[in-house]
Amino acid sequence: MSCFRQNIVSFYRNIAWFGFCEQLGSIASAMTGLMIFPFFVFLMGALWKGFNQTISTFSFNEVIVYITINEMLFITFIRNSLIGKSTGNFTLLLARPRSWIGINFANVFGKTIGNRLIYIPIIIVLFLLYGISLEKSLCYIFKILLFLPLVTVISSLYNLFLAVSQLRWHQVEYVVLPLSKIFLVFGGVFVPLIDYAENYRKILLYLPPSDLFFQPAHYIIKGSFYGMSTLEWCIKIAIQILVLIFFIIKFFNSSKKHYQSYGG
Amino acid sequence: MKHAISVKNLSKIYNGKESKCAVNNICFNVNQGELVAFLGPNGAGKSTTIKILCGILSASSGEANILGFKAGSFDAKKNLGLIFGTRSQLFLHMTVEQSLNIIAEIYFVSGKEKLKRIDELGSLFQIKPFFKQRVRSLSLGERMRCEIASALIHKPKVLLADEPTIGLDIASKIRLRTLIKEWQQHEKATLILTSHDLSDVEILCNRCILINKGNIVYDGLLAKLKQNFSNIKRISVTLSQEGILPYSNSHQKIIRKDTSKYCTHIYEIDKNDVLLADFISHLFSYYKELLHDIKIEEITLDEVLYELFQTKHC
Repeated sequence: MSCFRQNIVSFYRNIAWFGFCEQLGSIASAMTGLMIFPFFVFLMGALWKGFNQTISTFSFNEVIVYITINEMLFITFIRNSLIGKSTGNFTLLLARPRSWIGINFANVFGKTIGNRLIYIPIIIVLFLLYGISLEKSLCYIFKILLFLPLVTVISSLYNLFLAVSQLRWHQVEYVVLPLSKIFLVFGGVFVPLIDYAENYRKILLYLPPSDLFFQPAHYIIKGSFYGMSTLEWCIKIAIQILVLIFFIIKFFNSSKKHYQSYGG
Repeated sequence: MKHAISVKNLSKIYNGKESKCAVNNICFNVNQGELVAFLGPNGAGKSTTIKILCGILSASSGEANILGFKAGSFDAKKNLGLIFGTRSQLFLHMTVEQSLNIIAEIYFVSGKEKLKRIDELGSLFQIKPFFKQRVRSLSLGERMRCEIASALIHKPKVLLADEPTIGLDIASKIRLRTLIKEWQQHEKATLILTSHDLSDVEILCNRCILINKGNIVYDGLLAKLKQNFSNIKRISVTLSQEGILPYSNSHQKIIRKDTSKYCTHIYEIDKNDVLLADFISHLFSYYKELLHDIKIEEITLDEVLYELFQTKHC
């Protein structure tokens, strides 16, 4: 039994590694994001300097770190290409003796991690360009790498959730953009939630996007989560994961039942 | 002996605004090691049946088993190999070797067994030179050989091949058919082939199941099916001038007469009804010196099937 379990773990680890290598084997697909990434950091940093600097508890360098982390997480968050790839292999994987959910989760996870790691060298260069010392930059990078697996698990689950929804209702691609914009605004991707007015901030801190973007960045910069303990954040993350898994399984079963595999 | 495939009273109804019965209470068995073509026009229900066998679709009623296991179950899937000519199973951005490795693991083939199998299939399908190449850089013919190798990596006892030679040039088609045939003889596996290219069917299969509008209209030997139509001869007469009325004789039963604008008259006769030599001599005496050329042909399998699907009876 334990050998079987070990085989399963090693199989999904291989799938994740495979997705990771596949992503690195096709860096061209990340080129657009890579090119606009420094531009966004520069732009958002300049905007923050103009509007928020006087009211924020963050220093300019900290905001640059904040924007850089969140921008990297956001650009690689929900992607139509990942959703398309997961839905594209639905027919094929249903005919194979492995779980569609498991394979796609591992693959999307590997790909997203791969995609995010591509940004790390650029992030280091950006930090240095903004005058953050190498030692501090590496410290930030180390903390980013610590958070990366867990936040990538959640973003992979969101991608999978949208993929099963797409299989079930067919028109989900139109939801992807508005949904990512909701995460952008409610997660405080461009401006730390800490800079929002208190009544807004209180509400937004309860919502899932803040746990994915604002809180990890806050921890990396300040060394603690904002307004909650590490345990509280972990519980919120665990609930988010469980809810996503529940809906993924539910929608997957429903998609399988209603699947017609149109034509040939 | 257990049947490789057994289908009993299988039906599939697609529910939507209008319910559509794609497969209507069909039954058939396929023995282990048999080579069977599953044929039908578009929308006949063959893909639906194949997808139920694969576990992609669930049946509305009836049952389908693979080697005694319920279609779609874990054991059935493990024993099934799939080739889709229109859908790649390989990973475009990875090398052929990496793709084969991961597909092997999907089918629980790992360690030394996996390496041995990849090596064997690499030699059999002559794909070893592409092992380090990315899948996206392969030609269609090369990729199809790799696709087939990937479908056979777990030594499936039943192989479902859906249009395996689609889009290939004639040389690649011949090569692929030979390779599939060699593999089948070597492994004594069962092959179910669906293809609109009937030369695939004629070369690879000895039995065929014809399905039309959700019902099986023929299940038997391919040779026998052709034999039923082997008495029909087509005689094409080319004339040296246009505007000549075609030959007709009320005593001789002509199945079909056709006059093309290029001075050609085409006749189809049944040898049981009309003596061929007699008919030809009548043509000679009717057309006399206007007769430029005469050609006698048997009707092809495509035409046999066309006739069957048009008339809906066998």
